Amino acid sequence: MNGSRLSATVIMMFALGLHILAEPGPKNDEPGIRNAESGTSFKHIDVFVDSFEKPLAAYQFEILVKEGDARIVGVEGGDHPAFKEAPYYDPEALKSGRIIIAAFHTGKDLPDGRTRVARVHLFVMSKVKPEITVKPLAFATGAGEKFSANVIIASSKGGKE
Amino acid sequence: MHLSLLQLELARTDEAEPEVSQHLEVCEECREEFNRLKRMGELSAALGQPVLDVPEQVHESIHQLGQSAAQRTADRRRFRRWHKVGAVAAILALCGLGIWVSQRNSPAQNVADIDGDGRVDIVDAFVLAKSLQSKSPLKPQWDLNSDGRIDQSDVDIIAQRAVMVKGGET
Repeated sequence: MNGSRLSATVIMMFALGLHILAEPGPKNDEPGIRNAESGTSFKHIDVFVDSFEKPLAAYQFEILVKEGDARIVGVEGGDHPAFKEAPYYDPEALKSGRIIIAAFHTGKDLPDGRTRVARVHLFVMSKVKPEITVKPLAFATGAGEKFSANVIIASSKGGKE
Repeated sequence: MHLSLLQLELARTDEAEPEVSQHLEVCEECREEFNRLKRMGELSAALGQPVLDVPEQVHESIHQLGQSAAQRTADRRRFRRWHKVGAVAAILALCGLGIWVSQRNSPAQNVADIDGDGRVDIVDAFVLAKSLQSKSPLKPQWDLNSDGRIDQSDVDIIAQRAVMVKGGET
């Protein structure tokens, strides 16, 4: 887990460094950082799991950048204390547009309904808006019972993708 | 080995196998025999009757023999061709089956499937973590890193396997 976090941080810093070097002029355009000339930008997407009335103890889903030239550069945890820490993911996936994200919590304080479980940072390398899809893979309650849940992604501007 | 009279007769009537013609090209003795037979045939045709007074039944039998020999040769060739195709298909099928069985029964994959649902995902890591937390009985094979104890590092191995993009379970 520490290795994953460290790799993500190093890659993010490297990408940010490249971005700063590439653009000498002023750059600030929240919520993402955008280079108007090259069209490159940093964005993030928030990932929510809606477990309905079930207490969410474990989740796993896949995120895929289908359209547009974008790379996943980092993954953070979510809002609820159960999923605040950075989730599990394959650091190798940071080089690509496909990543599987998963986490679990063995404590008793578990969220239900709609909960933000992760934030995924993207480096968008063109002006084409990336099309991102999500595939729910596995969800379980605190008793280890598997169930189906919805996974929803929202862009950095707050709107649903 | 020289050609039989039947093969020579078939060659004369252009019904012989290509191998017979090839043999005639290289074997002088057979070629002479063939030419003699050919001359006899030509003479017979010119005279309008066979040189030798051979009964019609003999001609019929020779013709039938020739046809059945040619049929047998064709059947043998067809069998040999399909035999080769079948052998290659069987080898490929066996290789495929071997790979499938070895991947399906991979011990590392099976032991990581803690909840036994046929796939390795985050729920397996969660179930093992819960078992450790509640001090439930643990199976020795859950010691995935073979360090002699089952602990958080084994849970991490399962979780990392679950999220692996290349060669992972999903």
